[in-house]
Parts: sequence; structure tokens; C-alpha cells
Amino acid sequence: MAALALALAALAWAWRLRRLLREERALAVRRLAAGAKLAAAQAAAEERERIHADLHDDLGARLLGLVHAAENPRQAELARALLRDLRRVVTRARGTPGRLGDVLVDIRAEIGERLADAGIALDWQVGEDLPDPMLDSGHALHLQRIVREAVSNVIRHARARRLRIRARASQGRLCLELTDDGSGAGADAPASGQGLRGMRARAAELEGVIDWKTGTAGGTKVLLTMPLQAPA
Amino acid sequence: MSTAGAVLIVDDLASSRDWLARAVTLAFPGSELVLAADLRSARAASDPPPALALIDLGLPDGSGEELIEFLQPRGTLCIVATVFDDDAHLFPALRAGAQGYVLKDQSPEALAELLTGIANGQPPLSPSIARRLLRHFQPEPAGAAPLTPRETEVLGLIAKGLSVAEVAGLLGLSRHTVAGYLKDVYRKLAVGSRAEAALEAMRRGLIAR
Repeated sequence: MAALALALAALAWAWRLRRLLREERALAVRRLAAGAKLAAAQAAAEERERIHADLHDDLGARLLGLVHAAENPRQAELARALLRDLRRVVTRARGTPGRLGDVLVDIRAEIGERLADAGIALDWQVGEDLPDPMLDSGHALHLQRIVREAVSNVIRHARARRLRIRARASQGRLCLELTDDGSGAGADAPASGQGLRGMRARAAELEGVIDWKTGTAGGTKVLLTMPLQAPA
Repeated sequence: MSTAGAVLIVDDLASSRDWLARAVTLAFPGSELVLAADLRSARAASDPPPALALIDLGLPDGSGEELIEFLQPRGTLCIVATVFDDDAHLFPALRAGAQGYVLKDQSPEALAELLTGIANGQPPLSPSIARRLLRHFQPEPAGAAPLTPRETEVLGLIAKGLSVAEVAGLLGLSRHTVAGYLKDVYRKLAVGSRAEAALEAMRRGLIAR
């Protein structure tokens, strides 16, 4: 009887030990994965810094030289426009993590300037009640690039006078709508085109969906929906 | 700013120095110009300290931040002259005590206007830098004076993408008053960073208690 109790106790102990070991191993695997992810993020950040330094020291200085040495105002303005573009790329490519609201303000500042240059009015409708979760730098970058590309299409093809951008939350998802009043040239969402493929790929990275429709005003409506809480 | 003191221009590119010199001459006619291509010669030219210094950050023998740290406590109004105005690039210089920044590709006329504005207490502030400032002061950093509710409110509106004129209209203040709040924020940032450095030094036993 005592021997049986002892055997049972030993068995229970062995089971417990096995479970503990299994948990330990799972934890170690998770830690390793997290460590690898951290290392990858670190490497990516270092690479970005290196590119940033190159752009800054080399390309930035040369473009500035062109502005300063320009023979006429038109040349200077051309070089200045290139430098502005470079500045946008460098700033965004740094991918500073922030909240959704921060990213939207940056997007507004960037496209507001570009649309104003193109003579297109911006109607920015972002509710104060929009949730404001943290976005990691990758997600922030995808969101910025999607909007940048969509706005480029409006400027290049739509012959629009007005672009409305609306952001709202619905059932835990962010719905971002860009509606122009142009010719509707982009409404059929042609499957070809590097830009559109890129936008789809970025939407997928956000675990979201992007779609093109004919807008209410006859132009094009681009609709992006994505989960508001980034998966842990 | 009085035009009596010298204006120091520190930039490693000759064409940049000339460009900035043209802007300074437009903004402060008759001021004495001192040009330097690196930190070493800028330091050598800083006794007595200039009234105003335009400083590029990436210099051959170090960062312009060091020069700002050196000159700002000596009463020089330090302004960063840069190609990139993102917060990651500028914030350390603002912490070191720069009272504003200008983009070097602007025309000498536009630069002159900005320089006059900064000298008269109207510093520029982009949304991303306003955000960075809000984050910096919250929670209250050690050794720094906290922001007043009004300063926080003004920063919050700038961070949302509003211009100084829009903020003034919304709060029923003059543009001058709003600019004054921004200037105070810059000042608190620099004072805070010096106090922090002193606290750190004390903790390490570098200076006597």
C-alpha cells in the first residue's frame, strides 16, 4: 500500500516535472523568437540609419549645392522640389513609432502640401473619437505609403478638384476612405500597375483589405479597412 | 536682437556659408560676419561670444550640438541651419539650447524673414517636433520646470497640424502671445537638459554636492 502510494507520488512528480520542462522549453522558444524579432528590428533600424546618413551627407548636400548654384529661379525651384521629396522620404523612412493619431497628422501635413501644390482641396474628416492605439513603425510606414500612393494617383490621373479623406472606427477596424471628385479613372482597380500591387501588398501587411469603387460624386473611392489593435 | 554683436556662421560647405551670409546681411544689415567651416575654428572665433550663431549640425570634426551647448549659456542666440527638419534630427540640438531652426534651401529673402522672426521671439515649430516636446515633458522630466497648462494646450494644437495663426485664432490670443509660449517651451527644454546633466554628474560624483 505504502509502495503503491510512493509509486503514485513518484508518477505524479514525474508528470509535473515533464509539464514544467515542456513549459520551460516553450518559454525558451518564445523568448528566442522574441529575441530574433528584436534583433531583426534592430538590424533594420541600423540599416535605416545608415541609409539616412548617406542620403543626408551625400544626396542632401549635393541637392543643396544645386539650389545654391542655380543660374535662374526655375532651376533653383526644381532642385528645391527634389530636396523636399528627399526630405519626405528620409523623415518617413525613419519610421518613428507613434500612435495612430500621430501618423494621421503626419499624413495630413504631407498630403496637404502636395494637394495644395496641385490645386486640389483637401477635406480632412478625422473624428476626435477615433481610437488612438500605438502603431509599430512598420505599420505606420505602410499606412503612410498607401495614402501617399493613392494621393499620387489622384494628382496624376483623376483631374480632381477635391479630395475627401475620412477615417472612422467600426467594429474594431479602421476604415479609411479617400474619395475624389475627378474622372473616375481609377475606379476599376486595374489588376496591373506596380502602384496598385504595392498598395494591396501593404494592406495585406496591415492585415487589412483595400478596394476601389466609383465614388458618390463620380470620382474614385479608395477604401482601406484594417484591424485597429495591432496583433501582439 | 541688436545688430551690434557679431554673427557667426558655421557650415562646412562654402556655398552654404555664402548663402547664409547673404540672408544674415539682409536680416541684420551692418552686422559683423564671422565664417567658420568646422567646430575648432568656430570655437576659436567665439571669444567674445557672438550675438547670433547659425550652426550646421554635421560638421567635419563633430556635431554642431557641442557648439550650441558651449555658446547658448554664454548668451548667444543659436539657430540650427539644416537640410532635414525631422524631429529625430533636430531634437538633440533643441535640447542643447538652439532657439530655432531654418532650412538651408530657402531663398536668402525667406531665410532673412525667418531669422528676424526667431530673433524677435517667434520660433518655428512643426507638428512632429511639437509631439516630441509633449512626450518629453510628460511625465515631468527630472530637473525641468513643468509646462503650464496653456503651454501644453498650445503645443497640443501645433501637434495636431495647426499653424501659429490658427492656434491664436482658436484661443483668442495674439500671434505674438502664442509665439511667446513656444519660446518659453524651447527655453524650458534647454534649461531642463542642463539641470539633468548636472543631476547626472552629481549622481556619478563628478561634481561636489
